Amino acid sequence: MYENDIALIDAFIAGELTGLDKHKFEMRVKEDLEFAKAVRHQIHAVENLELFGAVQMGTALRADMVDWKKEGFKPYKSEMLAKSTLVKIISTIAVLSVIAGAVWYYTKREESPKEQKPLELSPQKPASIETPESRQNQVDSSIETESYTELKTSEEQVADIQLDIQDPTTFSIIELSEVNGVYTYQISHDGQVQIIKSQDPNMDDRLTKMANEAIEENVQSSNGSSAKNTKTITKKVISKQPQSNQTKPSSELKKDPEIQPLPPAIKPRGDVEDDFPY
Amino acid sequence: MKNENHIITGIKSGDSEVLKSVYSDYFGMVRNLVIKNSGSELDAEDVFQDALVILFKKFNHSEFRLTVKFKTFLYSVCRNIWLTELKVRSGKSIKLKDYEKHIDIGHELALNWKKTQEETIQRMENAMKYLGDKCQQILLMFYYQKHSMQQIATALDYADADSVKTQKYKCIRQLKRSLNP
Repeated sequence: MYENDIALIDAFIAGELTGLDKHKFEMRVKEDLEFAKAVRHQIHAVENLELFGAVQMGTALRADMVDWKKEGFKPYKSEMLAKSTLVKIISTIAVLSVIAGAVWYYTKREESPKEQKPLELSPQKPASIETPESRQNQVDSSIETESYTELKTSEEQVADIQLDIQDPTTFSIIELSEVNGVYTYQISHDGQVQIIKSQDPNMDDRLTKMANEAIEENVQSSNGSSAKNTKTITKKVISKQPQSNQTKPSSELKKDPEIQPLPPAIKPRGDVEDDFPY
Repeated sequence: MKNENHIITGIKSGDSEVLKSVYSDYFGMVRNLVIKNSGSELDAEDVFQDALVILFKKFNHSEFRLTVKFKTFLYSVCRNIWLTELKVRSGKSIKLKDYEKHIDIGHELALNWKKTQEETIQRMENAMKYLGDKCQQILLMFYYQKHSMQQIATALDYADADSVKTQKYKCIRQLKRSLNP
């Protein structure tokens, strides 16, 4: 075997022969048995050389790895694990948010009936009380005025109310009812009636005070022309009136010395406390 | 991708700097795979060593084209090596816990090439000892590392490429005789 034949076989093994050269090589392998044997042996030797080279390389690598290990290697972070962890965290947050939202919704829904609904301020005529006096004075009912005040703060309500009391003897405050913490007061004076709704249980005290101030102003402006105007009024009625139209007989009302006679058509309803300071 | 090409070229030529950087960047990944799947630190080193040798052989194959990230390919090779080793040790099929994406890299890479060819390796080692150091270097540089005659001449201080060619002819003829008496 010549040196050129070895080079030719190397070229064949490396896949460098093409076209006519490759065809000639294959024809020679078929025809020349000695050449075919040399080709087989060389292929075997090259395969073994590659195997040996791999072993050599592995051995050299292992020796190098001892040195590389001393210098350390980068700590491993699994991208796949990081992604799956992130997905788990996001999923957990989402699920917890949904649960929290559901809990909040149902809790809120259960609480909502307990919450006080704002009262609708539809005009509501005070229940008229049928008494002989009221019937007699029906003609004068035209002078009645009704005003309804929205549920504002006590201060706002007091500021809104204007009391122009001419005759203090006609002034009265009646607590008509209390429903769900909302107090309904009826203010009467000089033949006028105002209905006030408030969440302030002491609104009657405030109004009484305010009425006194109004009277004092009137007295000062009229230089004390009327003696009865100088009379300081006190809270007249602080009683919870039931919604029913139960009314004391007018005779009883008259007998009660504490009860201030109301202006025409405005009469106390229901139970009137007997401790009128009037 | 440019960096990946640099790694492939480095492994093909056995560039120690590239191999070192591959170790630094990816040994942690291989170690995690092996240790989390019933292996030891030493097993991880064996797997990494064998994987690099397989990569070297694969990359030097003219038909080979890397179609995935180098990291994925390395993980897949190591995974196959360790899976095969676990099957040999336990005698049954094993399901690995995976920490990276992997691809099917074919049966030939799953074989534990050292164990299956121990006899051939032993015979080859004996033959190479008989050849001497100079012949070993020339043959390995030409057939294994795929260096050109000129590169070998420069590396081994020969006068020119023809001198190496003549020397190589003598060496391969001697090796063939040793392997096929």
